[in-house]
Amino acid sequence: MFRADRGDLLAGLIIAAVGGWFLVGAFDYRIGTAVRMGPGYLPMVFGIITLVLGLAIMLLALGRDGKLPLPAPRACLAVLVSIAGFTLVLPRAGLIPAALVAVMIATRGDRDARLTSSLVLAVCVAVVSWIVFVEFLGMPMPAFRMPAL
Amino acid sequence: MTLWSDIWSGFQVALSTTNLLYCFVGVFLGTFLGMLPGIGALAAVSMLMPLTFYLEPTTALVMLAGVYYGAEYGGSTSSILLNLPGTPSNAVTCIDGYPMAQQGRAGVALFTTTVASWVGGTIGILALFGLSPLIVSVALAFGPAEYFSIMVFGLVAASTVTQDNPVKGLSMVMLGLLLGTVGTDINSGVVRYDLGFFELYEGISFIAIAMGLFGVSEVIFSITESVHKPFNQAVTLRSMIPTRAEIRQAVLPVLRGAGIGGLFGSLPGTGPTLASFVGYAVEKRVAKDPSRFGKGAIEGIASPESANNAAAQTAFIPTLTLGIPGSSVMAVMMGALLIHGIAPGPQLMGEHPDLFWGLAASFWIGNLLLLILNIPMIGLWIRVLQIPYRFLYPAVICLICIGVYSVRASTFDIGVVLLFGLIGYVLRLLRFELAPILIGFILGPMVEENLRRAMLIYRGDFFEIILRPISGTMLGVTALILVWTAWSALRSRRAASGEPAVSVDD
Repeated sequence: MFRADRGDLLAGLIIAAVGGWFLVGAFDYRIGTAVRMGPGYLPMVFGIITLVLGLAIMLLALGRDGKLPLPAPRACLAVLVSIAGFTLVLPRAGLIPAALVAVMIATRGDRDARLTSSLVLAVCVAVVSWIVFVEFLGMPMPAFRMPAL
Repeated sequence: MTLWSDIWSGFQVALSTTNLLYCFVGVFLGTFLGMLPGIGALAAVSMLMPLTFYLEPTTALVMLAGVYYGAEYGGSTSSILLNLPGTPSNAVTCIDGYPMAQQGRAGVALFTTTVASWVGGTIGILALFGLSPLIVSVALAFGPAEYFSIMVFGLVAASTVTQDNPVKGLSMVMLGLLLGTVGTDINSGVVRYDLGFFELYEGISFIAIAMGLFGVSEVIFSITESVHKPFNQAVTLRSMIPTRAEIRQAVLPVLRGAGIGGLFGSLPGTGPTLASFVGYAVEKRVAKDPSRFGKGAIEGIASPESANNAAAQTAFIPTLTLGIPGSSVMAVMMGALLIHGIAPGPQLMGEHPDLFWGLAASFWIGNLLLLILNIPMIGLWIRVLQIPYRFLYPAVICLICIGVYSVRASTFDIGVVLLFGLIGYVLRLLRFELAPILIGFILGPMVEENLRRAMLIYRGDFFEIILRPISGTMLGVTALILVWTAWSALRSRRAASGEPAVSVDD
């Protein structure tokens, strides 16, 4: 096995891939000349620089040791699914159900959270956000909405 | 003196009932969020920004600015009491603040940081009052070439100077610039990188990116890292009064810190965090007995706290006078101004004098409110620190979702938050600093527009830009920074490959 900081190797690969993706995409638009730049000119330049930086990060990662960082899947999943839940419920059932769903899912990120305390917290957050955002600030979103059939 | 009448009219704007109320709301919420470990000033400002859309532009900025410097104040409280910095710029306050609390001097430490913060903030505001008109008078003559060069300098400085790994910092700025190209190109009307979503025609929502990168990814990190340390030391008003000797020890460090902070805050790429570290280092160097540092030296908290609050105020100088944010929090402030249809730049002071001077005056009133909030009400804040994080973060997630949705009633934008939350989490795991992304994202379209205009004026001859005195100097300094960056990257690599394998991880 060769010596490399695997975390930085992956980091450089991601940056290079993003730069490459924008670079390839830039050619869908007119590039133009330096005097009259088309919509593709600067994305092309930015893409090249990013690609080079990504490769540089990878090169600098060679020859020294380093591990891939360990993610925290439980916390990550709970937070992201909670946001997804809010997004799905809000347009269909309104703010209060969306907040209830989001808090219930989010509390799953903590191993020690009990169901009853999550439920109490969910009701509190839902009621407070309804009062603050809908009643006080007058934001245009319904507290409840009948699901469209 | 027109300056005095401008300042006077500014105070009249800032002292109106509405502005005073929202200034208080801002500093109160800022102190609250700043104290919670894991929520920095940046996350606090971007989370509360949607609340300000329904307000007048001046009131909105008064409140957001209050959140910002309130968070800088509040962060020091958790540094001292829990040894957990509330915001990165309070990290250095832990070194001497926490030992002071352990010695039973928590009250004195809190009092010192509050007063030091106030003095630092006040000196920063005086610099803002004095320097801004001068910079504006010079900047009114700037053309696209100058703007392009200053922006490139700002981008490079912000991503290299304070970063552990400048190559990674630069790549984050580039990521921001690339994300900034998404949406309709103003010159040609062509829509770029829309991936078939009509929601992306106006570009990616700035707030969604900020909340995803800072709000969501910080919440994920804090759930896994939060260690709840109970704090059970009574802090009475009487225990806050320092002795005469302590006051004498703290005066000069506070003033030195304010000078350092004022300078670093106004430069792009440095900001409050670096200012607080430099302030600490200077005190340790000038001290007669440096060994006291780290064991509860009052100078070690006075200077950094004065420095970071002075820097928080002078950071507004380039943002308001040139329209070039020097830090990511300033990028958010500028985003808020743009959402209200106000373009920051040298014309701001002339076109919206009430906003400029009103905002500047509100800084001082806000700093005064913080003094009141932090000294008599310290007991309340100590109780806030005892709320377990697991009750807070689900509420924070709801606040983020509702806030983003309220901007343009779009669930698509909540999806963007989700995506950038994941991206931010992965990038932070891979040890990237996220702040330069926002600066790149905000400045990207402006860099593009000014470069295109400059190239049109000079018929595509880039040397014309280099030959102009101001833009040439800026680009020259930028080139020097880049050369230094490349050299130090190669040198550290050579040093690493020369030694036997030493794992950086512990």
